[in-house]
Amino acid sequence: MKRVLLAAAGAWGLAQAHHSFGMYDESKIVMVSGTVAEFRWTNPHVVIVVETAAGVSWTIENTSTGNLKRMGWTRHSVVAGETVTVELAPLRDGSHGGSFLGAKLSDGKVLGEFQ
Amino acid sequence: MTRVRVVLGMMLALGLTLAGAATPDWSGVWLPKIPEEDAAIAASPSPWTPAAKATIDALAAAEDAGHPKGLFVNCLPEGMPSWMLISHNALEFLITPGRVTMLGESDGNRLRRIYTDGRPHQDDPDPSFFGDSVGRWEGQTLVVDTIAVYPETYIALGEAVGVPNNGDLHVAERIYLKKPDVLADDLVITAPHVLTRPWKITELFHRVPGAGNVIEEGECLGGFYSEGKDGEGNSVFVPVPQTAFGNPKPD
Repeated sequence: MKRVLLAAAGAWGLAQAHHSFGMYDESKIVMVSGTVAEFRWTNPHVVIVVETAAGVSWTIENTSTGNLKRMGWTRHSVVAGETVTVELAPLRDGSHGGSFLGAKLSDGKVLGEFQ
Repeated sequence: MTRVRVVLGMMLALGLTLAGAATPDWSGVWLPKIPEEDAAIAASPSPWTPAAKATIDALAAAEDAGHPKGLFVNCLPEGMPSWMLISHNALEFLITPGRVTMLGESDGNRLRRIYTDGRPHQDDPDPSFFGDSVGRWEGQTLVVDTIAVYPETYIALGEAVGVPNNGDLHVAERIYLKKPDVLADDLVITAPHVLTRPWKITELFHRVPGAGNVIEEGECLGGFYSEGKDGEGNSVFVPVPQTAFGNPKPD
């Protein structure tokens, strides 16, 4: 069974409820830099939408609010309008989406596991 | 007067028992660990019928190829026994007189009511996702018997791999503290239309320490919407397009 393991989750292996993450290619890491257009602090999956300077919008899925809170996140951890660099496992079909792996915020703060 | 005291004493004793004075401390929030879930299935593979095995293999291959079937993307509950088998989210137990209630996080539709007041199963229970559950305490172990689960409810190994139980499902459980902060659920799953024999498997749940010891509200359909405004400036939930796999559709 293919399950995305959030690196920050450690031994818990906190993956996702609701749907499989098999549509994401776990063997690849894509780095996306841009401006946070949306930070949807919602269940069962938190979503970050990042707009690049080239005008490309990336939709990045994460685990649930409860699981993220237990890893130290809050609904203010990412703020719309700030610049961010996100590492993600990309959608296999080539469209601009991915599974969140880690992020580095404009103030240098790191979320998840950022290479 | 003495008779009154005896009656009061009996009521008090009964009340203490029903109030759970002898029941274990399962307070707090409990989380499964995915590596342990995978290890449990590996250690005790499900004895599928050939037809069910063919379906399972095909779904696993599809998921590995990047085309996961979304067993739960319609947001109907995982139901029994899948909630106990594949959940990645927290749950909590409410032990009250004559009843144990299990509540799950994230999807908003994980709820089990287990009656421990000595009642038998309903004579002709309506089918449901989590079934008709009765239980009893054997010391510190909760023994649960569940029937009347929808035939459509999956026996799942993951969010994309599983088969409907196809009817006559029976789940027997023994839930107990294996360690002070580790809860074990010994399941015996009988599903004669998809399993060749009862499937025995043990799932573990770990008590969350510290500030994470809170269940967060969550609705499965929540991800189908984002917060926005309508034309009049009202705060409304705005639909978010989804793919067939259940993830938000990128722009």
